[in-house]
Amino acid sequence: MIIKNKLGAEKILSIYWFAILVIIAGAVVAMVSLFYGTPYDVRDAEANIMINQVSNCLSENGKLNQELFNEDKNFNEDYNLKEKCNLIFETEFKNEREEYFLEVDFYDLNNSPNGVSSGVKIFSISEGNLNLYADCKIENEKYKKLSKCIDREFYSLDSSDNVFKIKITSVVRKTEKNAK
Amino acid sequence: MKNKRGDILVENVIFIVLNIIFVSILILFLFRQGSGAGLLEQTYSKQIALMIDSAKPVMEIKLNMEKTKKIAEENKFDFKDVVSITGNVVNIKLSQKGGYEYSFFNDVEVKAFPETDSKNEYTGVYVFTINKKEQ
Repeated sequence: MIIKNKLGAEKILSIYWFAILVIIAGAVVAMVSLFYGTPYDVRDAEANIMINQVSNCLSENGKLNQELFNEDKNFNEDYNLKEKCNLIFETEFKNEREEYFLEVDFYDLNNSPNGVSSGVKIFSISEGNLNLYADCKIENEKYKKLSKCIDREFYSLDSSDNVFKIKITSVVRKTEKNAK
Repeated sequence: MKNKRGDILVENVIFIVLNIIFVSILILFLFRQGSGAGLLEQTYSKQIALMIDSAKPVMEIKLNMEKTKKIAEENKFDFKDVVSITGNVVNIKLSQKGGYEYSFFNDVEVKAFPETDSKNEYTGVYVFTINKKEQ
């Protein structure tokens, strides 16, 4: 009688053991699939590289590029940022819209009114899909994956040694390739 | 009594062997997932796109892609067809089916080709030349 009960208990134990193995295997497969199924998000790196490229083309050795100014020493409204900085925003992906937005703001630090140490915005250039800029303003965590926005600033001089603060905003969407 | 002891030993051995098989399958699954063709296609296409974005004309960049060479050989796919650049899109393919593409924003002319040794065999290194686009 005792032997029979012991055998029954062992059978039940082995079923439980088998169930535990299946649960562990399922959990491991689910975790691994989730980990490797999520694409690598490289948009931060991409946006930072774009800012580096634009800053290198706008300013060299601490001096602003002379092509940014017209003959009257005012900012050139016709400055083509994409062409001058070797940028191409159109892609040959199927069903893909423009995935980048770039904005460069110039702040004059010489003629700032009292109390405004960050300067006054005197000129701005933008390129790409303006609609993406709205994604940067969304605070909701759920929508934060839409686009990656990076802001960086640097200082530079013009030919008359006037100091300017240049703020570059780079936005990269590419959500399908970088987020799940 | 003797037989019973023998049964218990066999049961234990089977139990241990099954456990070892189970753990081995799990480890094998983890390694296969980590070095799968799909994952490599994605990582290399993004890495190459970022590399081109950071490059300036005139540059020559060599990238070690031995892992992709192994997988391409396993899939009977020619290593010279692994990387293709069309316009501003990098495409990595490690088999006849599939492939992963990623775009770059740097408006330069890029050419990619596999490096060969003196015996005309692939070394596993890919060479990327970056030049200014001719207008």
